[in-house]
Order: sequence, then C-alpha cells, then structure tokens
Amino acid sequence: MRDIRTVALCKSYGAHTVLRDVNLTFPAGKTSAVMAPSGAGKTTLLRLLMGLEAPDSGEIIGMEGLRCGAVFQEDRLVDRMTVAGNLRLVRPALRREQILKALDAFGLSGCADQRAAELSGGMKRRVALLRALLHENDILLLDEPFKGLDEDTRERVMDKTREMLGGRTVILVTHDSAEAARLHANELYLPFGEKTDDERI
Amino acid sequence: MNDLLSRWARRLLPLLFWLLVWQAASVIIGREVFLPSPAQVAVRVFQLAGTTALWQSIGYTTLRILAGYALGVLSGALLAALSVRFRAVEFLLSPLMLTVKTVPVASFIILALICFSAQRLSLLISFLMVLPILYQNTRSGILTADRQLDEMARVFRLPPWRKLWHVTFPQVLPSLSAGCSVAIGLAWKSGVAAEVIGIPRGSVGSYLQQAKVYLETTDLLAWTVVIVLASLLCEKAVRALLRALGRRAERM
Repeated sequence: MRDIRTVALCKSYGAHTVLRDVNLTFPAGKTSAVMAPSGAGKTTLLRLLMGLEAPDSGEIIGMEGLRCGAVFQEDRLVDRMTVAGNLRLVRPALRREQILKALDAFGLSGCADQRAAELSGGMKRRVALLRALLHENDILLLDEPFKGLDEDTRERVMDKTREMLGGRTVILVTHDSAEAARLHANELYLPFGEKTDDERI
Repeated sequence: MNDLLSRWARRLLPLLFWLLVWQAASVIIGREVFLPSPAQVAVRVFQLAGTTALWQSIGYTTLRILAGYALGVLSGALLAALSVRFRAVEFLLSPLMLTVKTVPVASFIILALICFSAQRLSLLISFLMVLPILYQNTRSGILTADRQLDEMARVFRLPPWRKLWHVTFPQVLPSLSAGCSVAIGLAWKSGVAAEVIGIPRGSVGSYLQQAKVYLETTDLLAWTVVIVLASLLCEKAVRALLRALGRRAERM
C-alpha cells in the first residue's frame, strides 16, 4: 500500500478557481480528514481522486490500481432496489447474515428487504455508508458520510464505521473536528482557492 | 368490491354505448354490405373461430409480425445505446431513422414487394415501423437516466453487465415500455397492411383482401375484430414480459 499524494493540484470551473495548488499526502492505511468550510472545494477534490474529473494541472499519485469505495455528497442508492440489493450490487457474494449483522450495527434492523426509496434521509445515508464499507476496496472516499444523522445514531455509526475500516486508506471530507477525532483521523486543511460563500460547486 | 364493479362499469359502459351507436347506424343504413350489425359480425367471428383457416392464418401472421417486432425492438434498443455512446453513430443514423419514420408505409411495402417475397413482407414492414420508435424511446430513456448512479457504478467498478442489468435497465424501462406498447400496435397495423397488399398465401391479410374483393363486409369486420384481439393480446403479453423483467432486474 502506498501513500496517496496530490501534487500542485488545480481545478477551475470557468472563471471560478476551486482548487489552487493543493499538495496533500494521505498516508496509506490511515484515516485523513480533509477539513475546510463549505465551498472550499472538498467535493471537487474527492471527484478528482475518484477519477470522475481530470485536474487542470498537477497530478494525483498512488491511486493507480486501487479499488475505490465511496460515499458521495448524495446517497446515490438504486431507489427501486431493496437495501440488501443495494449492498449486494457492489458485492454480490455478501451473505444474508453478514448483511443483517451490518444493518443491525447501523441501527437499520428490519430494513433489509425495504426498497431504498422507502427509507428516511438518515437511513439512506447509513445504507450508502454501509455500501462503501462492505465493498471490497483499498481506499474509501467519504464525503460527509454522517450528514443528516441524529446525534445518537451519529456517534454509534461513527464508532461502528471506525471498527469496520480495517486497514484501508480513508479520506474523509468534513467540517466537523469532533467527527475527525472520533474516527481517529489526522486533520488536513485544504488551502482556499477563491473562497466562496455558497455551495454551488 | 364496489371499486372493482365501478372499474368494470367504466370500461364496459362506453363500449356498450358505441356498440349501440354501431347497431343504430346499421339499422338506419339497412344494408349488410355497407354496414353489418354488431350481432352479425359477432356471429361471423364465432363461425370463423371454428375453422382451421382462422387459427392457421393468425399463427402465420402473428409469427411474422412478432418476429419483425422483436427484431425491431432489439436493434432499436441496441442502436440507441450505441448512438448515446458514440456520437458518430448518432449522426450516421439520424437521417436513416428520420427516413424510416416519415416515408409512407405503402412505399416501403411496394418497394419490399419488388425486392423480396411476399412471405417475409410483414416481418420486414413491422420491423421498419418498430425500429425508429424504439430507437427514439430507448435513447431518451438512456439520456434521462441518472448520471449520479452512473458515476457510482464507475467508482465502485461494477462489471458492465451488472451495471447494465441492475442500474441502467430499470431506469430505461419506463420509456422502453412506452415505446414497446406503442410499437406493438403499429407492428400489427402495418404488418397486416403489408399482407393486404402483398397477399402472402394463408395470411390474415390475404383473407382481408378476399373479403374486400367479394365485398364481404361482415367478413372484413369479423377479421378486423380478430386482428384487434390478437394485437391487444400481444400488447398485454409484451407488457407482462417487461414488468417481469423489471422486477427481475430490481432483485440482486
């Protein structure tokens, strides 16, 4: 396993610079929390790491050949599939007991056969997180994975998440230091591009 | 129970109304050769149902129309997928699809009659009718599919078939189904029209043509009823098949 590095990463959309000269190192097998306020380009950074977009200049080193799992800004579940189906979609070999156990740990007992569309926002978020955790991958890219969870579930889910990370490299995007601390993450700060107050990016 | 009753009433009463209008018209006209009564047609349908000619011809025509339909659905959907993936395919196909869509069916039928045998005519014609509809509908289905799920599949590296079957197909299904439903009716209409012109032996169209030649209006309408029933039955079957496929694709 290698560290993942971004070298002089730049990205703009039109005249709007989102990332300017971003140099970060994400140590292999560790959890890194990218801290920055809204609109500072965290999501864009993740999209570049996922390979969904190409940087204008600079490069990302160490991602080649790694299997990726992700929680996106949105939940991105297949609405008409059941919860169990959504999890099996990324890992068909999952056994029923494994799924039930994982759902139980995330406070989702009894949801396995419900369609994703029928879940509440917080439940969907947890399923999206479980999907990334149960998927067999080397690196996890998590974009505010605990967004929309109420206080009790949030802490429980964070603890369970930490237990399930194994030796994976994790890049967590958040603006909450308590969240980073709870996941034993080292905090990294994103240098501002042109700071914006909105989240149009 | 009441619900079921009112649903049936909503369907049956209008039908009954139009049958009465038909009956009244035929009484006013008073000549079977111009407009036979519904009862006369119904009797003829039952008479025909007792003959092997009807079942054989229905079999003959259904087989060809459904073959053309299936071919049209598959190639329409496949070409649509290719056209979304490769812009060049879209540019290449767009004049072709426009042509197929706008050229009168009769021109195709006559052209096909010159080049091919009458036997395969209805297959070819229903294929041509179905192709542009399925192309268009599948395309718009794919284009409106959720990009975000696409990205999800990419990041998790879902194998292409799994993505296609479980992520893309269920999203395209609504517009695909709409296309399939419209197309099956058109396949029957155009396929039978082709048979009436090409008169392949033993086809439903050849009996329609016969009825026309001998001015057997009752026969003409009886055959028409049979064709409508066959077409509706096919549509029901296609819908049921698509629904079953949809349910299957949602299971993982």
